[in-house]
Amino acid sequence: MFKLYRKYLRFYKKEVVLGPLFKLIEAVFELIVPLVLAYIIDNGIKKNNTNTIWKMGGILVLLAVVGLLSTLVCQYFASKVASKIGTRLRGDLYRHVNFLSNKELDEIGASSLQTRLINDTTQVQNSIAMLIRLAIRAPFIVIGATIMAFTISPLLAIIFVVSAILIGLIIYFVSKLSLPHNKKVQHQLDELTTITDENIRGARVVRAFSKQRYEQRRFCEKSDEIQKTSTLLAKVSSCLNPFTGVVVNLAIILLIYFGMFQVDESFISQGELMALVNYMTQISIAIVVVANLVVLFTKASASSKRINEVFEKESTLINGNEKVDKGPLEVEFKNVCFKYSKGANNAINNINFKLNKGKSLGIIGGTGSGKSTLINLIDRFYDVTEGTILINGKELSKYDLKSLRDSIAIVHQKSTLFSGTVSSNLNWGNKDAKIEDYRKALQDAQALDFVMSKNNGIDAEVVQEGRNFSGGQKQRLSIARALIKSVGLLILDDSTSALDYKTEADLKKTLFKEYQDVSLIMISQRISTVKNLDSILVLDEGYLVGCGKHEELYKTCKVYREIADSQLSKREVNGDE
Amino acid sequence: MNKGILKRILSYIKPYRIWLYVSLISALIYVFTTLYIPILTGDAINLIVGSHLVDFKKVTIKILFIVGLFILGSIFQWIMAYGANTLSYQTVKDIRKQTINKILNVELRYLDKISPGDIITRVISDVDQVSDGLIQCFQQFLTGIVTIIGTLILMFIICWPIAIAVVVLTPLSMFVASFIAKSSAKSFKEQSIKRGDLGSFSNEYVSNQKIVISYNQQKEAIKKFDEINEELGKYTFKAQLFGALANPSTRFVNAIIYAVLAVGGALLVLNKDFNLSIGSLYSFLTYASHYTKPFNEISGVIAELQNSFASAKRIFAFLDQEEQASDKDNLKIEDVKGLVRLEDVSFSYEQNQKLIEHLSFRAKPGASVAIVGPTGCGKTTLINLLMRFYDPNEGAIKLENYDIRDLTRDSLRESYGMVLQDTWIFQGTIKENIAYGSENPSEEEIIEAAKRAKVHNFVMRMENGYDTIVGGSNDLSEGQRQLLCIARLMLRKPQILILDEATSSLDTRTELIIQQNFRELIKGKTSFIIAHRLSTITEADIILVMKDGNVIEQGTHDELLNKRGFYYELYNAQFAND
Repeated sequence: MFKLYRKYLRFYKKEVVLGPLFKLIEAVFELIVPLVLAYIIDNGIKKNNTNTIWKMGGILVLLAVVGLLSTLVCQYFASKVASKIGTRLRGDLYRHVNFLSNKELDEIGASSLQTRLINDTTQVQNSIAMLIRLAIRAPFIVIGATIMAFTISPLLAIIFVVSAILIGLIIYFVSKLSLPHNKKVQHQLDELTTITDENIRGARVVRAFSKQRYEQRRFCEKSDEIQKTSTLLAKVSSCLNPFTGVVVNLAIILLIYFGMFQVDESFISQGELMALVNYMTQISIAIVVVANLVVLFTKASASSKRINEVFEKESTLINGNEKVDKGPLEVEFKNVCFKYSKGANNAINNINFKLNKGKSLGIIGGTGSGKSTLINLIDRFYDVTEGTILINGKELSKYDLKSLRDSIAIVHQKSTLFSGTVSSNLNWGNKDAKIEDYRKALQDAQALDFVMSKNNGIDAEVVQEGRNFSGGQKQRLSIARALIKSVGLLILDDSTSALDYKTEADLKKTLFKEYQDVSLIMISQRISTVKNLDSILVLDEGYLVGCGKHEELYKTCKVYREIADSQLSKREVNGDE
Repeated sequence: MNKGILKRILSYIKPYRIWLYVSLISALIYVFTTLYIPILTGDAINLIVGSHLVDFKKVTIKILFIVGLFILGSIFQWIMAYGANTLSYQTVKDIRKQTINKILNVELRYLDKISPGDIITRVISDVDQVSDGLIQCFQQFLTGIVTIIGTLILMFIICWPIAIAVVVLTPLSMFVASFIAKSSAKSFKEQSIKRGDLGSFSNEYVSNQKIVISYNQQKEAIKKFDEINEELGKYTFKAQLFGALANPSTRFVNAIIYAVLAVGGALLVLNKDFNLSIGSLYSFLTYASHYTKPFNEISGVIAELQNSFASAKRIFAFLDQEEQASDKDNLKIEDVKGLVRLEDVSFSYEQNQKLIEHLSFRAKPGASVAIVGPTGCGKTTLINLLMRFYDPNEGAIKLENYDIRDLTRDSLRESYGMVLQDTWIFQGTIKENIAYGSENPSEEEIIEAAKRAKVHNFVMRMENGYDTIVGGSNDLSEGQRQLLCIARLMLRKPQILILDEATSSLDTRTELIIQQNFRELIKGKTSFIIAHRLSTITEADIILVMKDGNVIEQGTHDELLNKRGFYYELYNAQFAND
């Protein structure tokens, strides 16, 4: 937590110094109050001087006014620093996320990243506000009161020092003991959330399998655990106030006890003894505030840990500096193996192939055969575990990532649009696109008709995740977004699955006609999609089991033949269309 | 309105009311000690008048009293907190139990309409809010009120004229507090709206970071993020500042009150008519600060309580949803052969949108029934009716000559086995996921089912095999999830099979193998298959072609092709390429 604080607080030195300084002024004024009161008793009441009482009353009001003003200044700075740091922290975190590669993003997980980006940063932001506004005040009061006590009676001030230390220790130990329980409750709540979510989304399955009683038990067990842990947590954290209360009260008793000897020997006056007792009461009030903040700070500390975890992640991809030449790309895989994480088995094994400039390549294979993995490697989402990938004869890692990705366009399996308009989505492929470019890309992607039938044409609204378009329309818009990008390699990763047969055929025709100077990779589960391509790779459970043209593969590759037979009629297999 | 909610919350508390009394009594004792200690302290100070005037013995006795009191007070403070917490957590546990029962028994119609996130918020955050509210209520609110009343009484006893002054000045502090609370509520609302905007932005972009990367859009994304973030920063500042004003302002008002009391008190001490001692002045001033403090806190607590009421309202609204009618006295069906009949069934989700109208058909035991048709023609609805997720508006569905409304839901559904388009995998091991729905299957049976569902191979490639935990968002492909759901069914061996696009994400080769294995599994049993790919259903005994909620054609594949009707068109459309 302190690491994160240090990192950000230093940007706001002026506010960070001035804020607490004004708080200090306020605290000092508040500490003067008991002195004024002592003065009223010793010089006003005892000497029967009404004038002094009125004067001192005026001073009390003055202290309150100046105290208020300086607190307001402090609150202003605190709010400013907290909101600025919150904004900055979120910005930095999001910037950092954008520098990470897929490997690190997978490790953290998208939903967890979102929580860190929004909720955790807010926790830290609030803790900073409270730090400046409230937490700093408590030590001021404790230290200030102790100093004041020294000026009155060095001997009795020892009681202040000892009790301050004791209170510090109590806060430290209670929060240390409650922190693990706190974390546990959070974790258990997450688990309960998962169970609830599963039961809502899976309502049909739960009912179909008559598992209501089982699900009820599963939920209640977790709920019981939460109740037990929370109660345990309450047992521990409820100790804070009674314990500090005991210390403060004990200190007051000791003050009175030793104070009476002091007064008796006239080392101090009655009014001064009362001032000492008042200081102790002020300490106890300040401590209660801190106790209420303990929960906030334990939460903030957990949050900053989670934020730092993200900051500590570094992209494992080392950027090269070569630029990719214009024109179609040549792609070659040499003995490429890849696994997603250390313990896992290889997702693909020993893959070798070459795609020549301007040629087309089909990749076919069953569920989980490694098709999409292959694509992730070409776009350098991940680095290969073994072997090399060459683009235009040079190793992939030699290239500048931006230049590499600018020269490759991928249409992913799951078509994703972003909220905005049709044109703002297409913009991603080409910032400077003109109206003709939009039209051509949409036309080529077989999307122009339905876009134009919308009210605003290419400026038609796209809502989050493109929910206002059908599956097939979304696929065609994603294809258009890729086509508008001028690239050397176009990859379609099973991205025509929601299109009807005719639209797919038209799309393919256009691709071959209009994009001849682009190398093309098409991944599919349909033989009909890949059978006319220049060459076809057949993957099976991560291994390359066949490579060649349709007719060849049908004769020589068993897996390919099985796939073909399961899909095509005799007439089509033989190719006489 | 709030009265009803309060009553209902109290009814949940009732079983644990012993803790309520414990914490109430503890609160009284604790507050009594905190209020009585200043009197004793004041007395003690009174005895320490000046040099050589101290009555050591009397002071020591007072001191011993104080020690006893604060130890007692601390113990009861802890008991009070413990009682409030226990009460709240137990109550909340009971409420949560009702929510899960509601989720499990509510009409599906309701769950289909509402977003899962909404219910989750109610079950998790809203219930937590109620729990916080209860704790706050018992700890701060009650002690606050007891303190206010107690200090008022004591102040009147010590010196009624200044006590009246205190009472007169109190509304001032409350007025300031409520004024600030009102103005800050607005900025807090603005802040939370902007935070929501930033949340949905990052939801959209972070979960699709892959596309952002591959289109080199990082810079643009950051720019957009920064724009919203800057705005959020502005609103945050406003909200923070308003929030920060409340405390100092009320503290200022209290300080003024304190000054007035100090001067007034001192003057009264001088006036011998009032018989006010210095020690009593000390006690009085202490009470005054004790008295004003709860007002600061109560304004915060009231906001918290309002939130809790709002949360409780949302929870109760959910708990009041209608449940399915009880089926306790219904017949438990056994020995299902697979005779399914629909008799003149009409159904619609919305009253004015007709869906299925006067549908009748008959599936003989052992028949395989395929249902085809364009999207939105009512195929999935049919399954909702067969499984009795919904009841038909008119007509009847019969299983083995029993109206399914006369059967228990459990026994009806136990006869069926279904795999739906939306795969459902829960967080747990692969083994647990396959075993879901079967009673204590052996390891061998599970593996056998996994092999038949083509799950075994990819499971063996995973790090922990069948003990691998799945259910996260990225660990299985859609095809693998479908296979796992199919394995579940292979293990369960149902009497009647329902497959709703159950193989849509599989490659055709795997699909063929699975179909073959299914055929073995359901030999002699009835099956309903919905499929988008027509090649999957050519061997069905009867194909129902649906359009706009009606069966417009039925027959075998060949019969339908010969008819050259709607099915013929559908079938040929898939070869329209090349």
